[in-house]
Amino acid sequence: MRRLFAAAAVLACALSFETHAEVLIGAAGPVTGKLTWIGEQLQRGAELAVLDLNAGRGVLGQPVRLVIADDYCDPEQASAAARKLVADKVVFVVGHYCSGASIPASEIYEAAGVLQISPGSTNPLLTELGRANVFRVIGRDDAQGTVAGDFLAEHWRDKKIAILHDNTTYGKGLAEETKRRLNTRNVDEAIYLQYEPGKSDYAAEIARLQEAGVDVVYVGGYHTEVALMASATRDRGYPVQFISGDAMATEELALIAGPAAEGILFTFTPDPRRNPEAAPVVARFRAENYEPYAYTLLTYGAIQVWAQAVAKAGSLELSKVIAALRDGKFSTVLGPIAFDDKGDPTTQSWVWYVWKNGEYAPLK
Amino acid sequence: MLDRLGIRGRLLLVFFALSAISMLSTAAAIYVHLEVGSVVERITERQTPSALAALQLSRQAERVAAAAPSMLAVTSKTKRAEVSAVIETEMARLEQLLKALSGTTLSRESITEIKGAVLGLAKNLRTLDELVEARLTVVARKEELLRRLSATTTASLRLVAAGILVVNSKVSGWREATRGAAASPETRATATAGLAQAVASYLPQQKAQQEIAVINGSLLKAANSPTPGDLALSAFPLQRSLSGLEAIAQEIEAKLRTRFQQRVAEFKALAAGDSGIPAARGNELAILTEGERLVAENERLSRDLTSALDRLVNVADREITDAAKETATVQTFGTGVVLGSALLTLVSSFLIVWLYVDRSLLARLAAVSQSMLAIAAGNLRAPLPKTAGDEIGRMADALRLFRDTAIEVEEKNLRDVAEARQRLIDAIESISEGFALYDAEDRLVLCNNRYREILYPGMDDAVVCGARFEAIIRAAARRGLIEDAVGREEEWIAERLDAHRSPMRTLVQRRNPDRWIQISERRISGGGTVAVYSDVTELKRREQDLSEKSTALEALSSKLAKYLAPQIYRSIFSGRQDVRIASQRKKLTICFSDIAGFTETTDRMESEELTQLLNQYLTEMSKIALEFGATIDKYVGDAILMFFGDPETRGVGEDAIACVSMALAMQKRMDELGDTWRSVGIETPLRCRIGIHTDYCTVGNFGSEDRMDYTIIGGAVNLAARLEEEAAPGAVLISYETFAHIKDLIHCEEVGHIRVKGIAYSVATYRVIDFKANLTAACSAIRSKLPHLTLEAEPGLMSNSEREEAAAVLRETLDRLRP
Repeated sequence: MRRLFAAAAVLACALSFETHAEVLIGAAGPVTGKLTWIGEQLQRGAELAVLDLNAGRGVLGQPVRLVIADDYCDPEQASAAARKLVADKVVFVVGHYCSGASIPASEIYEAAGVLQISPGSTNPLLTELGRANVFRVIGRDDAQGTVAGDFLAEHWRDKKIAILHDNTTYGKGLAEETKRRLNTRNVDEAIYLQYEPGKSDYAAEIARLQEAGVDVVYVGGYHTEVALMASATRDRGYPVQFISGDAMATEELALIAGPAAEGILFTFTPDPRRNPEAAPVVARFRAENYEPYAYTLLTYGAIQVWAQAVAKAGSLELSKVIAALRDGKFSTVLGPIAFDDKGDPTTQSWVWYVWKNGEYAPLK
Repeated sequence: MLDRLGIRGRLLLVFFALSAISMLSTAAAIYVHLEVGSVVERITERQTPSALAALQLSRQAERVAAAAPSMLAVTSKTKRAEVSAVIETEMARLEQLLKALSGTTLSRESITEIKGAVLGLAKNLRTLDELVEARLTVVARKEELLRRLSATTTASLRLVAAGILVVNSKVSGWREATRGAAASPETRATATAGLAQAVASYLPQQKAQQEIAVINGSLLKAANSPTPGDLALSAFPLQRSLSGLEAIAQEIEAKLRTRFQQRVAEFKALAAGDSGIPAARGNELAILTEGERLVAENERLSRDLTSALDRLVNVADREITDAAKETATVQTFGTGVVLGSALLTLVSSFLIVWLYVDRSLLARLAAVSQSMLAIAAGNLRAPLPKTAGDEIGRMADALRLFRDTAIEVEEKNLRDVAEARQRLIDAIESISEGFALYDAEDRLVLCNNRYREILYPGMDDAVVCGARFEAIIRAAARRGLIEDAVGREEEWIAERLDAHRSPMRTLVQRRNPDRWIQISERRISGGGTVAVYSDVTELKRREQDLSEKSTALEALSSKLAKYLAPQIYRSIFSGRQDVRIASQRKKLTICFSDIAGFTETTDRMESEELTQLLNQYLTEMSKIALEFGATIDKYVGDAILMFFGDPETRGVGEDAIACVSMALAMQKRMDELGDTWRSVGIETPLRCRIGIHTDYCTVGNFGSEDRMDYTIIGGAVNLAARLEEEAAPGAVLISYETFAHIKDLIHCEEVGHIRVKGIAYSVATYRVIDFKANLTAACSAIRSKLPHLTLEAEPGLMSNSEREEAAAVLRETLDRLRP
């Protein structure tokens, strides 16, 4: 009889393992569309992270399965992608990339009790809305804008400065932060301009800048537009310095702008490829003939953070995982990382990079 | 032969015949019933279950076959497990039904056939299940491949995206530069050259994009191609596009070339070989074809099974129909037998009643009954039916015997009656009394000679049978035979007739001379009158003598009574008390009364006057004494001795109260008499002294056998006399013993102690005052109990000196109470 019970118990365990055979997590970002190169970074990073997790003991002894959702960097599509992931019963989403996608999606994740860690959304609002389930491994635009504002004030104080933005959550937010800092430093921009993203030609905007005799342009926007603008200035033979934010950290900028990319400055977190912890991961990407630019390692790191928090909490339960995230310090490919009560990393630094020879490198 | 049987035998024969017919019909009915029952049993126990089981099995097989295609439609493992479980259950049920069917009475061949079909079905289903599992694996693999295709497509398109963007940008830049009229030809040329350069350098990307789209489309189409033929058809364009893409890869800029080549390799892998998408779809199609074949096979098996089972059901149906036909035949036969029997019974019953019962039995019975009625009516000579051998013949014989006996009895009765009559006459003649019997019309029916002798001597001519009673007495009265009727004949006759018609009591008729006749008349039932006449002359004379003696005795007795106390008299004459010397001790209340100074008063009187006075006094007192129930013992001159308690007593206490009450009544009466006497000239009226005592006395008859006296003896009598002597004239003095009995009701004053000769102790005496009820409040006691004051005074009981003494004490008390 007892043996029968034991057998039944084993069977029940087997069955329950069968039903919870794997832990589903989501990766959401612009897999296709204008920002498809950044989407690729996100996807590659997530895929390798999950592969590495499953090569170990998975999460809590259970294998992890990745579900990729494409948000086209569009707020409405992001909500749809979020609902799809919730319907798939994912417990955690790494993403999204665009702040304009992350913020509406975070509301859906909060309602469904799904943890969200963004590898690339920098708009302060994401963590300022008080959603306990939202974290990010990248710094905030108020800091990034401050750095940019200070840089402009220090180096371009007596020149004509133009500030452009694409009216997206990210672009507009970053431009405003920079403008505020610049103005705080008693420097006024010559032009503050909003442009329409997704056009194939920005000659008109460049013409306007040229007419105004602008020496330096700070763009709050994504790399495709910046690349096209840079090409346009080069075509016109109009020498102007482009400065922008973290969105410039993708090789497509150089593919689009070609030689015009040379000299573009931008702020980004210290390059994780240089972290010693990241070395084996970077080596594996390169072995696949893939260079893990920018958000690739940020995404990898975000998944590492989640896996370590779950291991620490000993549970997939959201409240426990959140508590673990707020409490602990995690060692990732991004270096050691910890979170404040809002879900932002406790330490964040923005450093300057410059595009040179089709690659970006720290500004010396 | 039939005659010898008699009616009983013949009727028995008839009933047996009828019963035999009934039994025949019952047997037929039972046979039909049993036959039908066996057929029904055969149907219900053998055919129906197997037919039902076959039907169930057939339906189940159809259900299983119908469930099979749903297996092919499943897309997930869980769904497959569900469907598989359902089919498993249905299959188990099918096998169970098959087992149940084997238990029935089906032929071995049909069961083998069915079993074969079911086993085939089960095997097919198992194969189908395996196929579905394989298909799921293949589909999963295909989906994985499609995911990879999508990823590869996205990645390869990404590689060409930047170039396309740049070309687009160049095109719009060129358009911008060449549109304006103001644009210089140099600018236009530069713009056109730039555009041309851009288009040239990004042409491979453009081509690559097209090829990628074709490859992606072809592979997607292959993944869903409906037949292997379609699959083969799509292979060619795919191969061509892949070669094209490979060629283009050489032209892609160096930076992206490696990555582009990687994508091409991925496409190749997806498009060709065993692990490619077309191969996967090929596998799936093969599995689907096999599955469809199996489903069709299943359907065929199920159809076979159903038709086999249908055959079984048909066989069962046919057998049931046969059985029903058989039953109908048996029923028709049985019904015919039963109906024929019933008809036969009816006809034979009718014939028996008509031919035998009516014509033979009833006719003869009517003749016998007619003869019987005639005999009963008294006609003993009536004709009788003929004799025959059967019961009715025997009945006629018995009737004949009965008639002969009746004739004989009649004759004997007549003789007996004559004899009895003679005996009666003799008896009547032999009695000493006269006897006469009158009928309802008052005619003489019978009388004896004594009747004539004592009542109507010399009237033999008138007293004859048939003479009317009235005529007889009228004749007697006319002849003066009846003393009472002399001078009032008619009146007497009326009285006598009255008495005769409603005789109430015995009459005594006085006859001449000194002759009494007692007449006892009784009405007899039927209205006649019986009269018995006795000569009671002698009796009458003796009765007169006795009556005279009795009157004399009564007069004597009443005289004697005056010398005795009425109670004693009553006791003696009623016989309650024996007149003999005997005595007993009893507690009595004795009263002694006497007239004070009687001698002095009476000395001056004449003897007659004295006698009258004394008698009046004694009569009045005696009357009172008797009223109260006293026993007057004796008068001694003017003194009277009375007592209560014998011969009748109401209890000692009640006796004492009655005695004292009597004494008070006597004194009161004496006061009234005093007034009367004074008015007639007696100067000093008589005054009475009364003494009363209660004690034990001996009471009874004392004296000799010749002369006795009923009296009391004892000291108590002396004490009563002594008390009387001590009493003041007009007063009543009583002893303590009496006082003790009456004190509650009657108020007395203590007087003092006296000594009586013969009594050792002195006797306390009390003067009787009156009934307490009559006394005023002044006489009642005063009682008061206060703190420091106790007062208890009985003024009524006080002497004058005592009163003065008490007044002095109270006066002193009052003085001291009032400061």
